[in-house]
Amino acid sequence: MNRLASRSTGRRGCASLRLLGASALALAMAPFLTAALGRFPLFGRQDLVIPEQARELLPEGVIAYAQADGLGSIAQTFSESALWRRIGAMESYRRYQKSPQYLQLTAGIAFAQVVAGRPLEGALGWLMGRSICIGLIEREGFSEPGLALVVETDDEATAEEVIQALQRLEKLDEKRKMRRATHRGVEVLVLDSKLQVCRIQRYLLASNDPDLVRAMIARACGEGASFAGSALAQAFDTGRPTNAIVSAIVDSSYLTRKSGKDRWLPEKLDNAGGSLLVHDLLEAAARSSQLKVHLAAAGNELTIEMPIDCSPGELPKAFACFAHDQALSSSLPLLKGDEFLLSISEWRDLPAFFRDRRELLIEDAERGFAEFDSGLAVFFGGRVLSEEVIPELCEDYLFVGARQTFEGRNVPPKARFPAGAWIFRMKNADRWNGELVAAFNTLIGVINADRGQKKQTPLLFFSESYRGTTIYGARFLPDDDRPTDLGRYNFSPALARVGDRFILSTADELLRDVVDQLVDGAVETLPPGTLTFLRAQGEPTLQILTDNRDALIAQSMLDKGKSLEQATLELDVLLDIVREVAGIDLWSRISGDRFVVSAAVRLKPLEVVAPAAALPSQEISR
Amino acid sequence: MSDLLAPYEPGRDGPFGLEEAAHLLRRAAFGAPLVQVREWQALGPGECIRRLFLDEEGEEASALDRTADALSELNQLRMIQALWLMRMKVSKCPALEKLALFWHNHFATSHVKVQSAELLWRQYRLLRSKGQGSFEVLLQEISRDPAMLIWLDSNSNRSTHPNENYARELMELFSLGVGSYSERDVQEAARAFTGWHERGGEFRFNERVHDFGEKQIFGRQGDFDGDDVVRMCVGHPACARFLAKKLLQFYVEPDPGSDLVEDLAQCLRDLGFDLSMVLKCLLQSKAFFSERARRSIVKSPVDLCIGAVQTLELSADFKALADRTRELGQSLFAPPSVKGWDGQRRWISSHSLLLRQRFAAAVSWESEGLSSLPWKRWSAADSQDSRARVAELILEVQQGGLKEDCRSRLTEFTEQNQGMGEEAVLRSLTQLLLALPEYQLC
Repeated sequence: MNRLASRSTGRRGCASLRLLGASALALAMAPFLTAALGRFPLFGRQDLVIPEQARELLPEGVIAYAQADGLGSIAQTFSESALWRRIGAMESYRRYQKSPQYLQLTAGIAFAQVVAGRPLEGALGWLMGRSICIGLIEREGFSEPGLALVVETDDEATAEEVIQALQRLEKLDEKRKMRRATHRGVEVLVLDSKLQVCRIQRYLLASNDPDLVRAMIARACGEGASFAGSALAQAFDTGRPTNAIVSAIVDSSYLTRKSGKDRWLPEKLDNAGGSLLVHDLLEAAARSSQLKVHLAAAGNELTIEMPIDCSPGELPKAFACFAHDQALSSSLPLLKGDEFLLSISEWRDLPAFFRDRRELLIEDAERGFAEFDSGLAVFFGGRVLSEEVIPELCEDYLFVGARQTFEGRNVPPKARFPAGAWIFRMKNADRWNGELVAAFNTLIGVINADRGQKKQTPLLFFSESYRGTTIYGARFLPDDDRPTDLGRYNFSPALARVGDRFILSTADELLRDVVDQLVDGAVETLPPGTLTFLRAQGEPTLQILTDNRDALIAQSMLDKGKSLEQATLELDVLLDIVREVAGIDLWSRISGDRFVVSAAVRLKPLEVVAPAAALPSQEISR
Repeated sequence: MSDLLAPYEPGRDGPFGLEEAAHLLRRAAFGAPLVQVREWQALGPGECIRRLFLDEEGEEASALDRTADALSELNQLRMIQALWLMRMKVSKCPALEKLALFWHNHFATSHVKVQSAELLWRQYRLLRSKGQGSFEVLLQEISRDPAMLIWLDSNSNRSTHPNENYARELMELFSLGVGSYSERDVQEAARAFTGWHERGGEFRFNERVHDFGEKQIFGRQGDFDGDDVVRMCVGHPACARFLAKKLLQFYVEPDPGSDLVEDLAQCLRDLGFDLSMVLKCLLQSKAFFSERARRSIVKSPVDLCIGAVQTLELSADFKALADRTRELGQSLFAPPSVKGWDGQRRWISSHSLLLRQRFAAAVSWESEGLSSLPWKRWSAADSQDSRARVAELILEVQQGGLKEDCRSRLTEFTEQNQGMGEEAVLRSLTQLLLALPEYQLC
């Protein structure tokens, strides 16, 4: 028995020794094993290097960058503003909130209501935090850049709350399966197999590429080069307005890297209209090293500015048709009637454009010019348009659009188009007066011949004196007994001359308004250097949209297959938005040695709303 | 009289299952999604037909009507084509839209000559509103329709020089058919329609140029006017047969037997040419549900396109859809001639077949203005077995009528292409189903 006991004791003793030895070995090996698995750095986790600015977490290779500061507090302020109250009170907005489209649009924020129990206004501030940085980063082996996002929240607890809210999404929607990965001790949530999200202290990092997330985490460990030290980041900071809410910059070389149709900034365009509008700006953008844009808000005005660091002198000779020299030495007029829904002024050297068009447009566009040349020659008694008529045009052009009231019409049309008028100057106005009138008469004759073949009502010529000018026009008889084809009443073409300016309008009603403006001198003078100026006015736009509400709804249903409810709701939302807008200005100018493109959205004055008039709470209980 | 028009009694004459309900919805209307077919299957044929002809316009169709007036003013053919196609989709009574399509082919009038979208839209509304009532009233109204008056040169029909166009087509194409009238009848009928003019988009009776004299038509003498001619045409024994055959070719089978034609002709006479009652009788009949009738009519381009939109609950750009039906050979409001579209086998050519396959691809892969294919809902179905998965998709798309060897080939395709991923497999299967010869048949 003793022998047995001693043997068993011996066996237990050996077993204990073996166990002790194995444990010691395991403990000794643990760091090596876990390092081999890549889960933890050697000898425990390295302290994170918390950056002062969110963008320091972005890795190098950024080709486009955007930064928004203080959006969270702005959103919070906005949610308490009179404008937000007004939006919330809009019937259309309340209906829109119940639509599937609203949920889709606000899905990223709606989850805050659903899972975090925050009201929408609070959720915006919660998510946007102190600043948001977005970078597009080139990736090897990919044709498209990857997206990296850093949000700096107020504090660590807030950032953790967002992560927890995302994780709760999984429980609400079975299909929304989330994977989890860990990199350097940081847990990364993978949503819908695409979006990677993680938290480092008060920063939220997100990307559509796991490698980018890993690179950002490495940055947080003080490793790798950062975007913050790059030339692009420095250029971003240079000249950034202090009141900018959102700014963005893109490396122009990325936009011009590819060739042909894949090139973001095309060298040649395929249509004359687009080319005349913006081609010089596109070319300048392609020649600049970066493109920037800044968004700022002050009072009732929202402004966007895009400086392009390229001077007009750097552009090829073919771009002389954009009349930069004339713009610098002279001032453009702008017709500023309150009834105009649209007013455009621009400098363009059309003769030069015709001459140099092959430098600016693709070969296929040439056919359009040939058709234009030969087609319009009919109206000018066989003159070669490009050689005899176009060169007589001066470089400044005005265009206005306005709603028609159809005064004097017994039966106005159901589809109501705005009227448009083109105002231009000829170098020898006296000589061209008669020729243009003759061309106009020929145009009406051709229209009447075509309508006669279709058994439709013809236009009737008229001429009358008005404020010292002679108006040459054509109208459909207002008392004609044909109740069909009422759409024709949208058109009553007219031509007149005031000084050295000719006015060609689709409606004589508008032509008279333009004559009034020119005769009375009710014209705004734009600053020198202005190349193109466009002004759209909210009230006339609202009226014309309202005039054609039913037709616009039907168009939306037809074009996009939307239901009546959807189409009606969307239009009503648009109308409510337009109702708040006093006007929009869009202009390009030369400033110093660069081009600047600007836009300003002016809201209508907001009345002060007492705090007690707050909306019903949109909070959802947890 | 045969019993071909006798009511089809489920149970006694055969089942009224999913295939029968789908057949009814396809022929009488433009098809319906599977969930609706299943609901209607439970109702029985009588109740289904009652619902099909309930003339209750929904809000969407009414809204389209309001805007159509403004949009047709723009005189764009494509616009009114798109409007009608959309109406076919949103209307609460698509059977009446299908009937209007029948009449549009019967009283074929083209924008090419009329040159007024507004007048053609008005004609469509006439066909829709009067199409299910008395044929005689419809014929009288169409004789006064401004678009028709322009189309068949009625303005040049004067007492001094009668124009026979309308009178001839009234007899040959609208009511009697070739061989049931004489040249003298046409000439005399033309005199009766003198002065029936269009002016300013409205019907005007120009009595200054009307021939008030005695005429002899179908052996009868009298100072007949246009309405009298219409009455005599409808009362002619050939009219019922002519109309019966056209209705049978549109709703039942392309080559109906003479017994069936005569039975339906008698039905027309007995019911006073009331189209609503006649159609209800026809669509409940044994002939309609017979094997011979099923999948026997080649889908017109409109049937094909709107059928897919309805069955698969797609969203569509209706202007693009109008372009598509035009490419396939059916340009609404612009039939090729006063005879309308020949239909049936004429819808199929080497060119149109390729276009139909392209349509199948556009539906399946949501391109060219078509979207919202419910493949996610299909993928959520529990079936993991390829054969069961194929069977479900066939039900959704084809709603029956597919032979076993075809099913087997589709199953084989599914099994061999699992690696494509679920979405791609479902879309590819849909495309194959829509491109099948069987799918081209209604």
